[in-house]
Amino acid sequence: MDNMNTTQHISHQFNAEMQGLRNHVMSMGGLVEQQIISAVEALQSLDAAKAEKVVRKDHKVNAMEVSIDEECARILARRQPAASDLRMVVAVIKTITDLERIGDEAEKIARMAVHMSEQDSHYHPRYAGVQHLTSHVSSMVHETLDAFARLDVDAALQVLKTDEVVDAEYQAFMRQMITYMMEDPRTISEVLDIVWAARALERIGDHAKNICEYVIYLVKGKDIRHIDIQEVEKDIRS
Amino acid sequence: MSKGLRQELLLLALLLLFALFIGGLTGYVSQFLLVSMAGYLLWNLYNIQRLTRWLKSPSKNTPETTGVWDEIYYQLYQLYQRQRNARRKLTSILSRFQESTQALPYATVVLNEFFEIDWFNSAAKNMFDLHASKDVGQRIDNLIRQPRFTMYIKSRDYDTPLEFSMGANNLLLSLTAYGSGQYLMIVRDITERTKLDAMRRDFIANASHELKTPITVISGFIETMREQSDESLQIPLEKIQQQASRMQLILNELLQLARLESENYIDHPEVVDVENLLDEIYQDAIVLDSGKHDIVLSSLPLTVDGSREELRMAFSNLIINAIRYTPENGKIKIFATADEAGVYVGVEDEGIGVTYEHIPRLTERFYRVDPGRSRNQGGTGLGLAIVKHVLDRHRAQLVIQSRPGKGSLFRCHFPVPQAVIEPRESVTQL
Repeated sequence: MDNMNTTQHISHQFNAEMQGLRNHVMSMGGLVEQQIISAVEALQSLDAAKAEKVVRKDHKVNAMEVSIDEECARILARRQPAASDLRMVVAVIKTITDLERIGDEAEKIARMAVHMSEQDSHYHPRYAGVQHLTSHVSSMVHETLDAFARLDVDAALQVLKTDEVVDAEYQAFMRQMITYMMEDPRTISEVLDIVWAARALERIGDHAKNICEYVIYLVKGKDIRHIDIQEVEKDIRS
Repeated sequence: MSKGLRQELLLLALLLLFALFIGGLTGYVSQFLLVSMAGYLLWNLYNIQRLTRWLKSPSKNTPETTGVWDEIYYQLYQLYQRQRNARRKLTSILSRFQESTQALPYATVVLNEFFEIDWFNSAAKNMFDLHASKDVGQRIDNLIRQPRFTMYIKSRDYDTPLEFSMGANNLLLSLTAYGSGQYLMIVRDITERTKLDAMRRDFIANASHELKTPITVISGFIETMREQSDESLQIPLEKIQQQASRMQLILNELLQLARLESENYIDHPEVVDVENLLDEIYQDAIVLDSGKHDIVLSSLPLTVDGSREELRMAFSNLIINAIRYTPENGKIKIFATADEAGVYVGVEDEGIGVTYEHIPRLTERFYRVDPGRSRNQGGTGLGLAIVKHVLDRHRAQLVIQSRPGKGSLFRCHFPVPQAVIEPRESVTQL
């Protein structure tokens, strides 16, 4: 079951549709990845123009979600797929929802950047934690999409584990920010903005985690949501 | 007839004769014939069995045999050896080829007609984090998901290489179709180059900016000094002022160039009315020229997409050049025409012209056709460089035709369909 080659159907058209579906999810993923990176870059340089570009582009992500959704419904209705094809369609429907949410979070970060640049605040070195969080989260998203493209369960499991690191890092960053706010109440409004951005990043990590769970569902046929990671690993490797 | 076969027939004939002879002696001719034939058949069957066993692992020591069988073994072994040599040669060529492509410093990926990965070298493996076992047969745009790359693949137009950034790296990607629907993708890391370019640009912009203030101060004071000093200092002071204002001009143009270079495309293109723009420039030129030349304007009502201010800068530079290098009373023609290939805007003069070897280098910064001649015409040496950059940003080309002593023609070609200036991403085209 590990090698899910979609080139085995008798209907050539069906093959093409399944391939196309996967490609569209991947290109949506690529767009979302870029949105995250641009949004955080805009935040770090407080570049309002760049941030607004991210905000403007979000509709593209939404449009892609809608069109892929339609495609899935069409395949379900017309082909009535079974087994791994059915799981593929179900996983795609869920994945694009999470991708769209990731896009929304990126837009949120961009809006923070616009807001901060209007407030005339500075991107202080003490916010370096955001950068850390970003590099973790964006590599998480990247690896998630790679795992989806390759239908690679091991890579997906690896990403699930990194999410714990991201959560820990987010906690540490929050603590640090709380200290700043207590030290100097004048920084509160600025720090709150940054905290919102960090929160968005943490959420992006969670969405990536969800997508990894769909990948495992897709390949192994096992629903591993709300189950402890160690148990999941044991279950899958057995 | 081969030697082996002849031997075999001889043997068979002897056997038959022998059987006939014995049969004739004893009176059981048919029985002896039958027995000898059965013996012959058994012997052949035995040889066939030996041959099949030998074919499983052909080796040099063929089984001991005679007649046609010996020849069969010999021929088969020859064939086997020829094939083995050919295969060995092919394998070595193939491995040498693979080794050399592996050693290529550029990431190289072979794609099939569906853009699925067929083969890649180790540079590609490192650059895109590909897995040898899992990624063969995977579509390349599932792994390199940069929206610009996906668009490039979809566009089916691979004439110009694609520049895009991945992580902290800037990559230059070219895609070539070859063979039967295969594609060769070569990617180079140009981070270093883009960094150097950016550094050079920043340096020029910063240096020009830093020099601006001192020069403004100098020329300001010289003006006051000229008013207050006596006759003897007038000439040197005037010279100083001339040079100072020239330096100001150069700095301004350097800053303009730096601005033009900082972005490759125009953010918000507008529809520029060429006829109207040329008319404005024409009016300015007439004032500037104060009747020394015969300037004419002929323009069709045309539009191009782009930046009006930048185009004004480019066209006026061309016209100022024409005025500068055309002897008095010479004719200067400003024109704008169009055909199915696009819009042409140009300036034709009856000036001094340049020889053809200089033409490709005219748009270089500070390029001088005649090193001996000083810039007494008052140019900065940056005019045509600015024109070229503006046209690049409009995806237009500058064509220069010139003959020494006869005149020059500078023509800007804006191709149709008017180049899409901002890379647009298609969403609905799923």
